Amino acid sequence: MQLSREQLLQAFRSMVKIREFEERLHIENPKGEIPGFLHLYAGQEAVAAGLCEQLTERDYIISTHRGHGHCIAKGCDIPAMMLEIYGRAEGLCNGKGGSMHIADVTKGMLGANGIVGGGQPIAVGAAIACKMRGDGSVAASFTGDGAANQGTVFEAMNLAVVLQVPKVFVFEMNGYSEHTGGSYSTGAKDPVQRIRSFGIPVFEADGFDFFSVHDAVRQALEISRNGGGPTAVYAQTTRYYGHFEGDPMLYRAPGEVERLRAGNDCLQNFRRRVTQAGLLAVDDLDGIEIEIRALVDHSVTAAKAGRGHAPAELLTNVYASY
Amino acid sequence: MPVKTMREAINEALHQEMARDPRVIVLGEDVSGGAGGTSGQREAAGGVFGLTKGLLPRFGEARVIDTPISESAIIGAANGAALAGLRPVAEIMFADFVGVCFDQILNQAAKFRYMFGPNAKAPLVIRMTMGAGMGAAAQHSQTLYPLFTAIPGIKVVTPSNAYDAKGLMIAAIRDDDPVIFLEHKMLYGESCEVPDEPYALPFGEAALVRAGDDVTIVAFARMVNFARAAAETLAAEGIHCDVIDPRTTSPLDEDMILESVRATGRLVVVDESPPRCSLAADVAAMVAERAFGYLKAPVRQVTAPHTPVPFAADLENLYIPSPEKIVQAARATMASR
Amino acid sequence: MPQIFAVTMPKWGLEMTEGQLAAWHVAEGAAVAKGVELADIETAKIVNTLECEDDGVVARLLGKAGEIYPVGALLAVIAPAGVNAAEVDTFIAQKTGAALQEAAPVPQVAAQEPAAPKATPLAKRAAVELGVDLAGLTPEGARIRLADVQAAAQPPRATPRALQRAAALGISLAGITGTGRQGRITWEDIEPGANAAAPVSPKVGAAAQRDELLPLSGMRRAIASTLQAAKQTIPHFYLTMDVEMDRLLALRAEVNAPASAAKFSVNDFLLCATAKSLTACPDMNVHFTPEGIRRFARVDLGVAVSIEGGLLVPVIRDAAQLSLSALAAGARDLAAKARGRGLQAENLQGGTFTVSNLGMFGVRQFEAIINPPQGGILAVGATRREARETKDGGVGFVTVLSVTLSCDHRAIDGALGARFLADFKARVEAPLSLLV
Repeated sequence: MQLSREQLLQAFRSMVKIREFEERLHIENPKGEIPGFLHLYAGQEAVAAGLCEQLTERDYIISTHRGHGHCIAKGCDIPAMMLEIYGRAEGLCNGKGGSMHIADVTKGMLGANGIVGGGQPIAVGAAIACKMRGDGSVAASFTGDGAANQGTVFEAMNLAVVLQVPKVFVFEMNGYSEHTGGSYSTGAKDPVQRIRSFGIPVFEADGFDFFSVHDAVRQALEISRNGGGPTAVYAQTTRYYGHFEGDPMLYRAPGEVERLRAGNDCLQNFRRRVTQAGLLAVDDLDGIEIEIRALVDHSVTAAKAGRGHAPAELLTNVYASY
Repeated sequence: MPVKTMREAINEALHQEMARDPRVIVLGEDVSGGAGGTSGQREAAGGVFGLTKGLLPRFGEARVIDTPISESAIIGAANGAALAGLRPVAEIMFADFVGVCFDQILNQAAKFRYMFGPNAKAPLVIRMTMGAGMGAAAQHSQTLYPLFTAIPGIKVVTPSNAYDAKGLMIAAIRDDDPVIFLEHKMLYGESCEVPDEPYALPFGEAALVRAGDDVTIVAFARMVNFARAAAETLAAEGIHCDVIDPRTTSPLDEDMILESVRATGRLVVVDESPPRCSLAADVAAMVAERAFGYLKAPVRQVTAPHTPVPFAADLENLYIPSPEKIVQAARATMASR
Repeated sequence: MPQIFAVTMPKWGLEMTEGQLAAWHVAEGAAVAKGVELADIETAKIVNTLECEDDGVVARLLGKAGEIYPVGALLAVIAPAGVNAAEVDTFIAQKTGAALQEAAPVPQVAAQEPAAPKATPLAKRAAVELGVDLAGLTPEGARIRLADVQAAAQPPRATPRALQRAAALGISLAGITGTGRQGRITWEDIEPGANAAAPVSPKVGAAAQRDELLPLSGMRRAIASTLQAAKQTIPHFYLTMDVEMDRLLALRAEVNAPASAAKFSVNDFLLCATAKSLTACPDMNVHFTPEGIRRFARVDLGVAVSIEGGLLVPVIRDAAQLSLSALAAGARDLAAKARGRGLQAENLQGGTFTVSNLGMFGVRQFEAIINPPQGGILAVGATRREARETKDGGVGFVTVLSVTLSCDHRAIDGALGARFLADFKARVEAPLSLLV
């Protein structure tokens, strides 16, 4: 399926936003101003963008602890996200969620989630709401190598099939379950077949290739948006950084990341494809990178200067009323 | 006024709220039952205790959702549906089963609003049965409200009678926060006058079940009945008790408890849970901190022992606090000074 | 010959000063005939339809639906077909000029009491229905509106002990700022500062041998000021009547005989007779207010209950419609609550007449002070045996009870009071009527 020039620019912009955001955090984190953990998404951009470019604000996603990319792709405000990550009162979640819990329910982003396997059952519930509304909207969740072996994900897949709700299970396998290889932690020889055995159609994609992911998601959405029940997209990808920032990645062979960056980077793949086909000019793409770099730079400056909390804010938003 | 059992009162509340608000859905194991059975009878259960009877025929499969035995998926789905604008009422058949889905309560429902900010709300109700007394043994009898009360972000309701149960259920469904609604199995058949029309009772406002000036008895759920019986026995001895039923353990009506203790100077707390980190301990600590100068005698806690719930009837009877134990505790507070 | 005429806010009834234009039934330009329904008008008492007085065309609708207009205000102009706009304008200008003059303030008789607060008709009606005293409300705008009354009718949220304390001290919860959870009124809020010292209940038994000054409790102060004002401002007069009690006592013995039966006191019968007599003499069932005599359709009967340190008058609602057993149960419940400090504020408000009985103390007869704004109070003494001449000229003994009616002469005249007592006497002396 051929994408329009605007769609291509938008997809590239989305992926560049994620990449620039994460690369900058990797630089900023050691300066010690960011509280808590960071789990960076760099390397996996094609998956977030390949899905979210085909969603609207009526559709829902639920993310993982590695959630920045999903948030950005679903339209969360970048300066507000940066303020949140710095724990500022003006942050997207008032500085009370942080990197692992960024959410914007007004945009259908029902939260990054610090519990591996926590989001998939929740997305089934959002899909129940979509089905009741009957407006063709869907809910999607992201599952990596770790969550793929959580019982909650199996429960969620089965319930989604039983209820025939419009739910897209996106499996984005970066090859690692924290510090352990995915080939070790998943016992099944054919993990895709394992998903199919729940009664869910699976569309496989090359997670390094935006167009491959986009096409798999398109097929999945065609089913789920039209009353066909849950679907799954299964994409192999990689992450460039550790499980968390500071992870020395002793489990990865020397040179593995560098080889992937140089030879199979999803942004470079996208550039090559659209410029060789004459769909976009190099200048278009460079311009986007410069613009986004400035946006991220501005966001970091603003976040560092962000407001702290009044003591009373400790107690707000525990309940709607109490 | 018509007399209804607690079972009927809660069922009526569910019917009325589903009729009033199309966003209300019910989901859980066997909430209607019968799906996939060989008899073809669709509503084969209406909930194992009959609490959701009649909902499926009236409101249909889209809103009355039978689920597989997958508690994480049930509560997770309720969470997601609530975030997406519905008002789900999820059922966990026995509160004890919370062990397999606690993440969805503890880390998800309770924390959405605090983590995500004020645009996020999770208006879900989780109904659970609780309580000892029917020989259901250690995995089907616990009163786990202390566990839930300890979680900021969750509201916890423990009705002691049919009238309160209906008003509190309606309030729970209309509430914008996650509410755990604990139904004591031994109270399902107990009845009292319950109006036909819908009404909501406020959370955090206790009921003064009986008024007296000598001893304050705070009791939860089924223990309210026992406390009332004990207070009648004590009244015959000239000991008059304030019997307070907090009705919700979170929020807790601290005002009413403190006012009563300041007037009586004596406190007995009755809790069907084991004693450590129980509501009895919680109320006793609160009173010790905020009304110490008014106390004329040590606070007495009447609780279950620090054991699992036993199976054998003789042992189970020993486990559950009794009216006699409450009477003894109240007499003991009168004996001090 | 039809001519231009005005449709104005009608005056339905003596007390109507304004009305709400609830809805128009016609539009400008519509042809209307005599008797056609033009609009719904709502007043404090009724909703009625304003009909067209003559044939014509609706030339102008000046009143807005939902708004309140004084009696005589110009609401619409009806004109014969073909009358031009300028003529209508001239007519309106004349009418509104005249209306302004009519609306000029009328000198009022100097009132002792402050004038009743301005309120919309709907608010006034709701205030009567909900038992809200308009004088206690502060309107947000120029006038008290329905929402203000409804808000005031919602009892302020308070803990049971706060309610008891307020009732015992005679304090209204309105206007008290609660410091409890979500603004609930707590015990401490009723008398700020009272929590500074631990409340030590005085120990009974060690009776003081010395003279002492007992400070006025809140309840004492309330009784003092209310009854002092009543005795000083109300022109009381008193009527005493003897009532023969033998038949009533025999009937009481009969209905109380079965072991399982609920037991009725003599006072239960007397309350029942009072309520029924008030229904028969509705002019006795009144409040005297500066605006007029408020006559109540329903008997809300106050029963004076002596409690430690004072006196409370809980109210039995709609007492005339209750069976004897329901009335007895109500009286018993309220008395128990009064003594057990369990009365709610609503138990104490809105009585239309009061009965005070000191018979149990052996008092033969007494005159009670009226509980304002009520029009009367009945004081009941003890029964006694008295010798009477019998029909055959001999002497026999009868059981006699003296009751004394205190009346507010501003509202009630002697003959009315006497008729009420005669009705009361007839009912007590033929007591079967109280059972039906």
